[in-house]
Amino acid sequence: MLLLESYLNILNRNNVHVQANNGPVLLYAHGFGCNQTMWNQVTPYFESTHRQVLFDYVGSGKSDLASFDVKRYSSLQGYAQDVLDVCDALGLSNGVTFVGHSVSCSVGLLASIARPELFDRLVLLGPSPCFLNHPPDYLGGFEREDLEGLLSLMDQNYIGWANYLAPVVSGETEAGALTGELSDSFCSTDPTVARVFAQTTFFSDNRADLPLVSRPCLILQHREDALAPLGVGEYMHAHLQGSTLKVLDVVGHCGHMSQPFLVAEAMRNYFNNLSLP
Amino acid sequence: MDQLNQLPCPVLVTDRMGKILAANIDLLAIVGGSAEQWQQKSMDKLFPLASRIFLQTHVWPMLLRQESVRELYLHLNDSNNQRIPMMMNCQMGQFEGADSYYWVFFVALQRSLFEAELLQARGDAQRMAASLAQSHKELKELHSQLSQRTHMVETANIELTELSQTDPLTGMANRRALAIAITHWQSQVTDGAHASLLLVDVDHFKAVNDQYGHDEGDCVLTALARQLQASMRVSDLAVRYGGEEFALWLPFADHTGAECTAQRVHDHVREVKVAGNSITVSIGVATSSDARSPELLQQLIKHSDEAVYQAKASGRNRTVHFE
Repeated sequence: MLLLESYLNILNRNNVHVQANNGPVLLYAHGFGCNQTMWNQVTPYFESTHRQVLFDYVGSGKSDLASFDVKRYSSLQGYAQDVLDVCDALGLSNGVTFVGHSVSCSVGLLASIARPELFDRLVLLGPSPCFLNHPPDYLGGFEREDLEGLLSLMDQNYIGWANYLAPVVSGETEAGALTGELSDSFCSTDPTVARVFAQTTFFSDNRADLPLVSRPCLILQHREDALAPLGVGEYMHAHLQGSTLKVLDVVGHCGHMSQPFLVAEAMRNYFNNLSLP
Repeated sequence: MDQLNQLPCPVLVTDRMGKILAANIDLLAIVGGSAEQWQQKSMDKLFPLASRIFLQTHVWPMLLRQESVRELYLHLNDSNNQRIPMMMNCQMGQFEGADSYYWVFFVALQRSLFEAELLQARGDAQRMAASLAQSHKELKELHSQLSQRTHMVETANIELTELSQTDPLTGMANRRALAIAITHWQSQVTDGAHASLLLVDVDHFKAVNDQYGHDEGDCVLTALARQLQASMRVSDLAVRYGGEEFALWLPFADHTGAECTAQRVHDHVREVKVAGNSITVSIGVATSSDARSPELLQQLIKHSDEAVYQAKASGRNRTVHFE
């Protein structure tokens, strides 16, 4: 068990926000390139029925950049630990419904494998256990060179960032060097951190973890999604025991932002149809 | 639509999910095909995979939140499937009565080359800085080792200096310390300053050794050393000069001052007793005003030695001043 001080640190570190204090817990986890504000159009649908928890992963949004540790966050387990830390800091020990987008789906699954008793169920929006193609059994949609291309695109788009091209200072550079002024573009992600997150996201392969998941999952698949094609959603459904697959009539990867009512409706139906213990 | 065609840059209009509603002729000139062909398709199809991911993970979240994005760098696929670097702005607006997004592109071939070079240079600088930082760290470690070593050597030096200037039996200074003290004094005084040296020799010390043994002899010497220290001024220095011979260096002491100290020595030495009898000493005094002379030490030693000899010859337990 952590000390009170550590709890407060985590709430600050992960910029945790709790909306309302009654009802079952919905814990929202944002995807790569974003922060908790991406859920702003979904949360109003559950305002009166759920206690909703939002947070930013360390390195994203308004989290404490000084806490960013390249080693920890070079593995999705590091992000899963953020999820568990936030639950511990809020004193949650069971009954959590995890709602994750994109890479956060894998993060949530890892967290549920580590602490199954904590979670009742998971809602996975646009999940992909692995973005790389592994023919002939699995087609994640991308080749390594596509993902390298993404990293260089990110570099070129971060040129506009304050100090990104400033002279590199020699001598001692500590973790604190990351705490710079953040612009609001790209959902306030520091370029150095974003690169680590991108590499971790797109080069992770969590297919072997799927059979280890024991909690029921609702897979929300976008009808036409460049990042997580239909085949990937079906693969998830086939390998996650007790999962439900729902294809949303959404083009793109961010249904919760472009068609939030579709996402909320699917979640609501799923919750209502469950025979709750 | 005609209005879009009059704009001097490629333009695309989509709905809020990226479904293509319109594309102007400049855009079609790059990506090929006809406007009808592209309509209702996902705009993703215009981009290579890396740019699609960037659109989905970065651009759309920003756009859906703040309704416009500026100066983004992406690639379009042209009709020959070549990647064309583009700068892009997008903003929400109305198209045929519905909320839509207007995407405007600028081909950025030159800029992209220039930026690629910049990024390359930045990468190089970063690697160099990292290796500099590493060297810096190693240097700091070496430096800290060196300071540690230097400190050890300094400490050892101080200990050695003390050892080399101390008499092990009495803990008094030795001849070397005497020479150093006199040289040091000489470097600080003007010529004509007085100084004196007392040579103190224990009377009948051989008899003490023979009769009571060397241990007792050593005790006498140690006790005597304490009494000599007690009879000096703070600025004076007492050293063990030889077996039973001591020297007192009295800077700035003239004839009278030296005699005064010699008398105190006689008085104090009486406190040292062997088998109930007081020890006595014979003292030879030399005084000089050749303060800057390089021969000062030898001269004082020579003269005080002669005076001790005379003191012994004239019955011991007395002071003779060299004239």
